[in-house]
Amino acid sequence: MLQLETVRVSYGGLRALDGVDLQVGKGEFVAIVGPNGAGKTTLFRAISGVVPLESGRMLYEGNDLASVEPHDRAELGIAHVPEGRQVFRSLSVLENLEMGAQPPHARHEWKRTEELVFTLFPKLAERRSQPAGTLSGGEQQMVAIARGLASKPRLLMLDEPSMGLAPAIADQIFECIERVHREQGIAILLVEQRVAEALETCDRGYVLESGRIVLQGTHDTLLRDARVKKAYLGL
Amino acid sequence: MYRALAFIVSGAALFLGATWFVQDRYYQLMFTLVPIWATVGVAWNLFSGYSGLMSFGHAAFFGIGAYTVALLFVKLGLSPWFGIVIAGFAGALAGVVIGFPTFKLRGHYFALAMLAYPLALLYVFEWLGLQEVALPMNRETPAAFMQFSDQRIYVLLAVVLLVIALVVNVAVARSRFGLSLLAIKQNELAAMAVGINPRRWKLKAIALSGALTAVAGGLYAVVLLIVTPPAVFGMLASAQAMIVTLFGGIATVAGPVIGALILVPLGETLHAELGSRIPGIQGVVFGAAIMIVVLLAPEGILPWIQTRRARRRGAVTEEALALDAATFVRASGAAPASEASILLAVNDVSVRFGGLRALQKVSFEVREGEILGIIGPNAAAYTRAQEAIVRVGLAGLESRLASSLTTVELRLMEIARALAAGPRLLLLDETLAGLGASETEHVLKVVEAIRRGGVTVVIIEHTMHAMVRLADRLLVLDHGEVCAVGDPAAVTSNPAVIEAYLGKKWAARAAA
Repeated sequence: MLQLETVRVSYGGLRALDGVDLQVGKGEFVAIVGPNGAGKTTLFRAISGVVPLESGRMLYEGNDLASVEPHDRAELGIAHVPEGRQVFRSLSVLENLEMGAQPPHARHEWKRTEELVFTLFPKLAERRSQPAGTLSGGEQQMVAIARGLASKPRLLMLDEPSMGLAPAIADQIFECIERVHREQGIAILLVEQRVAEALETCDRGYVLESGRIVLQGTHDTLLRDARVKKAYLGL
Repeated sequence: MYRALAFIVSGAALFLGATWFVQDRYYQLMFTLVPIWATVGVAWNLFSGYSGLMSFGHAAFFGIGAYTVALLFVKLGLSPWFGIVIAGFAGALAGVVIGFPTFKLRGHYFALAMLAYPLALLYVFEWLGLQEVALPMNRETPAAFMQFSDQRIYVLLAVVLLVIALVVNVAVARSRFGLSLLAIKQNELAAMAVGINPRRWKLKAIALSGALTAVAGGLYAVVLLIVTPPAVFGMLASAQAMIVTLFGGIATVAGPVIGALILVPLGETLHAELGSRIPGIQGVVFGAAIMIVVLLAPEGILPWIQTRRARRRGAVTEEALALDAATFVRASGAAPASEASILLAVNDVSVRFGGLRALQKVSFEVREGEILGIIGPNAAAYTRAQEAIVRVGLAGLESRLASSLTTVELRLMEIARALAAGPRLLLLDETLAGLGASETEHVLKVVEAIRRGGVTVVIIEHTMHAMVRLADRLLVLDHGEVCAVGDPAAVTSNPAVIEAYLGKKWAARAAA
């Protein structure tokens, strides 16, 4: 579904991504873990088209993403939930979700999506007319994810959804992501610092360090890998 | 929506009713200028208020409108009734011309280009020999050429134009158009991520804004019968569009109208009374208006009045933060011996925030030399707790996770900056958020060293495994109330804390 071939990205002379190869299959749950500054967010920004590639290729369902403008990528079925729960603060919860339903097919199915989203996040239904900026951190993260779902994506990209959340709330968020994956068959690309949780839920994972993929494999291989255990799981 | 429309129509009727009794031609002119400048303000707001891109040069559109009407009349004999419509299209085109190249660029290029836009046009029109274009009088069919002996008809026309602008504004405000602009203004990256094309919406907004401004400029030419480059392209025209809006209230529908109602008559009257002795008095009025607004009511006077009224009614608006019954005791040398080890005591503090009770009668104390960790499921509650503490004037440190480039150096630098003030109490807000395992270790060591240096630390954090190791005592806030306080081991095994904050999974992992 999504295929990255030796992707290189530099910021002001510094190479943030140094030849990354990565694949996400249809309906697959893929996690990317790694330390701070490894290039995880940059990778997402590259896929979303916010930062330009220095070299390499990104294919989405066989089409080269280079020719697709960032705001048109949502139309292809890619939803990006950015880091740090970036909701539109003064807009109500419902308006935030409606903003997510930009692509024509998503607008068409909006009523059905709305129902689905509010079943997934009943808390948001209660607060639908409240400004998103007044919600708690966990609820804002739910708004950000729900806004991504409103675009009817086939690939949902989540950047550190648990950041700054209470452990119990982070667990809830992970459960929601799992449900979306299981029940909607949406492919998930997740970037996380909470390595244990991310690797527990994913089908496959990649370990990114200093802009390179240093390790990859299925959920079982990674959880059993000695290096992962030592460096990330603290075992 | 209907309430807003009813309000606009009744306001317009009231204004026209008042006009009816005005006989003096000079005051009739003033009654015409108020809705014209209000329209320009509304148009400016439609673009800058919603998109957040400051336009310092709306005079470009105003002048293009004025010259379009005047030149079509003078050179081709075209009636202003048609000229004004063409002026609208010319204004929209002028908006696209400036927006197309500059919206691609980041930073201040748009603001700079916009500042230069009308000033460049001013010289172009002077160079073309159009220093003064007078609209000829039409004696046979004056009404067909928008010429009326009764000045009050101009007032009517100007008010109709303002009503149209306001209705457009109301329609835009809650439509996909307005919401997309607000989304772009608040978070362009997230807006793009959901498939909003920022450039397209900004172009639409500047075209609409340019069109309305140009129509107002066209009417201005008809009313004054003479167009000169400094009058329509000058800095004062640009400033007036901005200032009536900023003064009245940015991103509000009524703000520009209120601003124009107050500032235009004030400026005109002073100009008429004192203009000969103090030239440029209008500029002084606008300058003073800006200073007053910046100092006393940065949101503009309309939001200022609304906030005050809401406060009187007891309802606190979203932005307002109110401390209910707070007593902060700062222990000093004079404190009783039994309290000497207590650095800060918080007694019965309640904080309301956006109608929610963020803190309810919270009491706790911070002991000299300890590391107190505050945790809780509701981010708002403990950030309020911290704001409340910061308000009493102790050295604080806020490091929100807003920045996307959070690195360990940045965090350490922030801590260092807070320490530079030589505080006795250091407040850390989510300093560990987003840091990797080794970086967390590093920051933990630094915090430990700070405590050894004699500084008391209050830390708010979700990174539980770090908190358990770092803090001497943990305070758990749930729904604005103190849920538990004490030794980390005891607190983290407290069933109520596991239920409200940690979650069963965490407890299971910690036990394993």
